[in-house]
Amino acid sequence: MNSDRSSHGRHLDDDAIQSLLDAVERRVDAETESARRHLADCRVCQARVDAWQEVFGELGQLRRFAPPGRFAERVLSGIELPGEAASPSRAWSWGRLRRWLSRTAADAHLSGRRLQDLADGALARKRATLARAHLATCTDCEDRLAGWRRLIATLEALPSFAPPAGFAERVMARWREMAEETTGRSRAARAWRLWPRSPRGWVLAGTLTGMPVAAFAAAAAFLSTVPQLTTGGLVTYLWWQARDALSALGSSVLAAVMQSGAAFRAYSLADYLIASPATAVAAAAGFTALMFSSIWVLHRNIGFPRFALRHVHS
Amino acid sequence: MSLNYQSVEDAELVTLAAEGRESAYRELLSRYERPVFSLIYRMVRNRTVAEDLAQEAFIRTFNAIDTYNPQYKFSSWIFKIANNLTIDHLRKRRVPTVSMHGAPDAVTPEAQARTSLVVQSHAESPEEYVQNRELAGQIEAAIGELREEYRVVVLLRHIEGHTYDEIARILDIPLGTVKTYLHRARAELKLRLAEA
Repeated sequence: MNSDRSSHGRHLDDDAIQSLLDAVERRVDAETESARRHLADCRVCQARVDAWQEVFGELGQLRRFAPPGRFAERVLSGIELPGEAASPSRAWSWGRLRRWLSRTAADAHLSGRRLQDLADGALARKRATLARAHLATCTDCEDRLAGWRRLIATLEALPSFAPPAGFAERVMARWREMAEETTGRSRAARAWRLWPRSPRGWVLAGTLTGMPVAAFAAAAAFLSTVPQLTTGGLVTYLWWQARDALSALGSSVLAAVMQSGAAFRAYSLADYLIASPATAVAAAAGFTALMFSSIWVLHRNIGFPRFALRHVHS
Repeated sequence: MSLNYQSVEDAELVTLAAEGRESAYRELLSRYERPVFSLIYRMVRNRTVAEDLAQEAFIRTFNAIDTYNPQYKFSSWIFKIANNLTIDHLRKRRVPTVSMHGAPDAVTPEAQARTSLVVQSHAESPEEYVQNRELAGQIEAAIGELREEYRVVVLLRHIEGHTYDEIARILDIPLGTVKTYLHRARAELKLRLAEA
């Protein structure tokens, strides 16, 4: 204890005075008793003790702040209960770190990204819950969220634009044109695919086309060696043979039809129809309807090449 | 016999179209002509170009209808085709140029042309401005000033109502990138609207 001397012994230094004031209620020992005896006779030290007492008094009157909402709940959720298995790694596990971070996030202001996601309904449920908990106590974040909601509502209220009149018709017409062009190109492409592209292909194509030519040439060469055979005589002979064959075929078909009785039945039916005008009119109407149906089918298939379009790939 | 296709699902319509039914094509066209045209129009900001691109998008979609994968939504598919066409167009676009006067000592027209400064301009021409008056509102102007990548995600999300996953599939970009683009786009829009 470093102090100057007085008529009542050494003066008390700051440490001794603070120890004396702290010991008022807690500690009474020999040193404190000695200090008190000195203080009872020394006005200088009494004045210094009074000054220190003022400081102690002001410190004792400092305001106590309340912890944030649900503080106790959060503390309790963070501690290990007696029944839980405790492991050394658990104290620093990722789960605890995440819980700690999320609690910190709940207290902090929400970022613009988080507010946007919340306004857009794109925030995960847990994060949304934390964000709402913060929003319940923070008017600043609530105002910012309202701003993002207004922006999104403005965007979503924007109108869609209609294309110019006749757009759909133009698209369909152009599509048909292109499909027809593509169909023509695909036919040419199919033909082009048959064109040989390798020596082996050329040999095959040459063989296929050359064999009939060679056979015909061989036959002609053989016939030319027969001295009695002339070109005119050969043509006349072939003509007669073909005529006889066709005549025989026609005769046999006619004979078969007549023998089956079909010709007679057809004649009888025609005779009956001509004799009954109502039946003749009905037959004419049926024939006309059939004709118009055929024209319509032709028009549909020629006017819109839909079957060809199934093979279009771009 | 004509069928009422209005209550038929998109995937079924595509199947019918692939079988060669023209009415199915027409129904798909009537369902998507407006959203596809709107998206392209807001991207290119020119009605004529938008009509050409939208027509091309439909023709490509119809021609490739056999290759449609029913696992995904038809709307995602057609928007993907439309977006690819639009982005190609915007990349290839020859921007209008503004020619400043030539050098002070250039007296002949040839010399002026030779020494003139050519500055590329992204602004709309007066004709386009008159045409595009329907895009003249504050929010439309702010959308028009966004980068193309940002603009398309905003349009797909808030006007066409696609989910983040669908947008990622349409644009062929990761989901995280979609979120980043959307956040930045909205932040820019907010800033621009606050400045206006």
